Amino acid sequence: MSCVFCVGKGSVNGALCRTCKGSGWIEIGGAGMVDPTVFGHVDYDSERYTGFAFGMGIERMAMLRYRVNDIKLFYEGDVRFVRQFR
Amino acid sequence: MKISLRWLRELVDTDLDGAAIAKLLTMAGLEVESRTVFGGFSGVIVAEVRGKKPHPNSNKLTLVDVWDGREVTQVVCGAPNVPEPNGERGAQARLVLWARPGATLPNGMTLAPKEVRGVMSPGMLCAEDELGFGEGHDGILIFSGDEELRPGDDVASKLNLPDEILEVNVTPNRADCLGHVGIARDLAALLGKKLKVSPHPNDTAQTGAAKVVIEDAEGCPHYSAQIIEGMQVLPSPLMLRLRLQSLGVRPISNVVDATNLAWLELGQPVHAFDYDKLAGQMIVVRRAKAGETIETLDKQTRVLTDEDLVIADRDKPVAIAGVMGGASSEVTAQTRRVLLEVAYFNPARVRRTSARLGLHTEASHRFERGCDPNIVAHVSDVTTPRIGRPAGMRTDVYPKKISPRTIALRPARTESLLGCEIPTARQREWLSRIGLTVSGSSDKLDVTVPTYRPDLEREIDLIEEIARLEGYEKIPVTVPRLQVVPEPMESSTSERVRDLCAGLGLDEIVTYGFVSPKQIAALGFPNDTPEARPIRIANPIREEQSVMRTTLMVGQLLTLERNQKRGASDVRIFEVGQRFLPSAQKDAVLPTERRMLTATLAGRNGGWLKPGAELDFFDVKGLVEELLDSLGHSAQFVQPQDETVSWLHPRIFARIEIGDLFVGVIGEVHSRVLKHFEIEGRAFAFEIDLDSIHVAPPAVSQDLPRFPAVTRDLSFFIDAEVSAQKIRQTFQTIVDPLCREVRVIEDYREAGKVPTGKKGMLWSFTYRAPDRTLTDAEVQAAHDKLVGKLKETLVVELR
Repeated sequence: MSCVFCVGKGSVNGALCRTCKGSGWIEIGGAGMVDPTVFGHVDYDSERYTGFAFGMGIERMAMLRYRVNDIKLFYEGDVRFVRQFR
Repeated sequence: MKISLRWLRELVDTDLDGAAIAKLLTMAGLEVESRTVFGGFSGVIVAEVRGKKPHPNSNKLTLVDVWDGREVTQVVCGAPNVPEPNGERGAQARLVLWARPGATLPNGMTLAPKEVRGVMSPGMLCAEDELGFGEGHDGILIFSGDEELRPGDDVASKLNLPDEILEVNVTPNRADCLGHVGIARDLAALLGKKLKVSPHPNDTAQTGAAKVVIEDAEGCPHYSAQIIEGMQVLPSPLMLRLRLQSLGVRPISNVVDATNLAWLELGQPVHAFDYDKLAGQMIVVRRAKAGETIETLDKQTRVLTDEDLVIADRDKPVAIAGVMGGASSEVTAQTRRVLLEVAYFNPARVRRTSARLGLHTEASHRFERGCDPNIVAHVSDVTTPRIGRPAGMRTDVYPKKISPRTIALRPARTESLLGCEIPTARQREWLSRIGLTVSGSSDKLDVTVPTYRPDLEREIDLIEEIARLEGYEKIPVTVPRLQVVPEPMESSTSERVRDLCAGLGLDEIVTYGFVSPKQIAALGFPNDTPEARPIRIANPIREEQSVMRTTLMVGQLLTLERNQKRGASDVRIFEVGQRFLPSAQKDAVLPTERRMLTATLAGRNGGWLKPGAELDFFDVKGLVEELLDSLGHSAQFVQPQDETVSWLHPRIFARIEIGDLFVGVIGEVHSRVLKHFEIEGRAFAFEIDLDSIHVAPPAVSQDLPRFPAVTRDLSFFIDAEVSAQKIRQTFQTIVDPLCREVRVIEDYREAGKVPTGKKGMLWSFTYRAPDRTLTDAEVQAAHDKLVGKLKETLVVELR
């Protein structure tokens, strides 16, 4: 989706947006049709069944929800950060 | 892969700008990660060196006479490599690049005439880094006259600069896009334009030109060797050198540059041997002998196995097939005859050798993803003239031709899988645009896939191509009907515990499951415990994260230390997560995983009743009691005489028990451990195994008492070492059944009020009967009996 920090512009106040590395886009997850070979391995008939798979990184979701601009903050346990979300 | 926009435009007619092209490619699955400008300058011209003399006031500076096609001007130059004027004209002239006053350079600087040590200099002669061509700053850029550039020419307009370089993230399946033509093919398809590729030269193969023997046709299905004679190894024309530099490739010589151009253009690696250095003037493609060695171009000696494919001459290996050439047959300035190798190697074999040797090259990168076995002759014949000689002496060994495969595609299947209508004609159109041949009827198409697309093997792959080219963003959106599955019970216990801890004022943290073995060791677990033997992961990224945690304490202590270093000293943190212990069973495949709650507290007590007071053991114990109470359990804290926990203070710790069940430990973190983690002051921690406790069922309501209760207090001195826990346990065994509640009211130890070594305690006992009002006499009798029994059990001094 369009980067929420630089509103898709790729830069913030003239500096390169570090969340999207200047691209204006951020990846929040992957999605696609399940490969028929995968169905084959678990004995599903891929002519009868199709699958749509998708997943989102939980940190990415939290970054968007709370406008956190650095994913590392989630794993540092800095109480000044953690206490903002009581 | 770096892609030049200018080159792309030579292959596809388009007026779109770089941003628009980048977007098109990205949406079609060729993600453009960045766009950069190459050669963003103006006012720089080609000049010929006509004379040079030393600067009168400096040893390091030179006064250079340059000719711009009309007149000679003197420029001051600080570079050590100003060429001697050789008086030659035309192709042999010594040419340099002159930035005249008014010129603008890529760093934004505009030149003006400037006095240098007392001599006026109208502009400067440029080094390659000053024009953004590369990193080189050892001297000015020098080249010989070639057909493209003459003195006076404006460099930017003559070389069609600036160019824009796109960094394309090519996914591993798209081997065909590891060259400009592949990317251009997709771009042309997206735009509905024709791909302008150089025509296929006539097949010039002449057997007998060079002797080629393929002994391992599984490893090398196709090999061609072109002999180029009577040649001279020279620097390439400036235009070609810049094209390579713009794509991150260092120019070397006309021979090497032409081979690099082949993979940049067509994704096909090419290797040049000095033909006269090949023993027996022959090529043998074979498996290496186990233990055979070769010195590769990077001057490393490599030991080979019989799994590796090599190119050998009569006597020895001269290249590791598809990976890197050998030093012994390298093309040098003295080379007069070149054997140009263009081949198709088995991708899996190249991948294995490259991985085993840890040698990843532009060639191996392409061969292991799959090149086009049928482009070999074409590449040989277009590369040869670029070295300056006509093609015509090529030996081609291709024992078993690899033919394009044909795949059946049901257009209806495309529509059902993508969930939208794409008419058969449109599906055919997309496939033809990327070079596939389509025949057959509308319920089943026969699609023939050229050998440059080895990734297209099945119907689903063709459907993916159609979806990708049509555009994923054009597929309509529908909301699927989903069935919601309730959350499993075990996660709700964790949820509950998290909420309770947060409610008790703790901050939740998440730390890594992979930790350093040194940090586990620092907690001092005895060698025979599972905690001391963490499971090592098979492919650690670094030693600091190479084992799975056997305790959450490592993350707790690292986080505490980090917070202290950042100036936050009042830390109350907890984590709910798995710990991983080696299984006690010998034949167990998987480790034992336990869900733990671990908390650490340090700094001051948060309350305002005792402002600034340091935390103590009782604060933390109170938290655990409250927590387990909320889960419906009454916790006991047992202090065993003969037992310690390696990372806790030997006396300030307790086992946490529920009934007879051991569920965790609590205590003050051992000073030795704190020191290792560089933590200041004291810290308290507890650890509870959540898998061993359950959330008690909801309470069952009881009738409210109908008769009043009577309270009696008891005040006494007792040995200070006897814990309240111990006294409570004593009371619980001796009280009368009429006693409903035992509470501690006071614990005081002030000197002067209490005998030495003793503490004063005040306890309260509540008596009540369910069926009547108790008489004073009844209560007194029960209480007297209690006091009597207390004296028999413990040494107390009643007050």
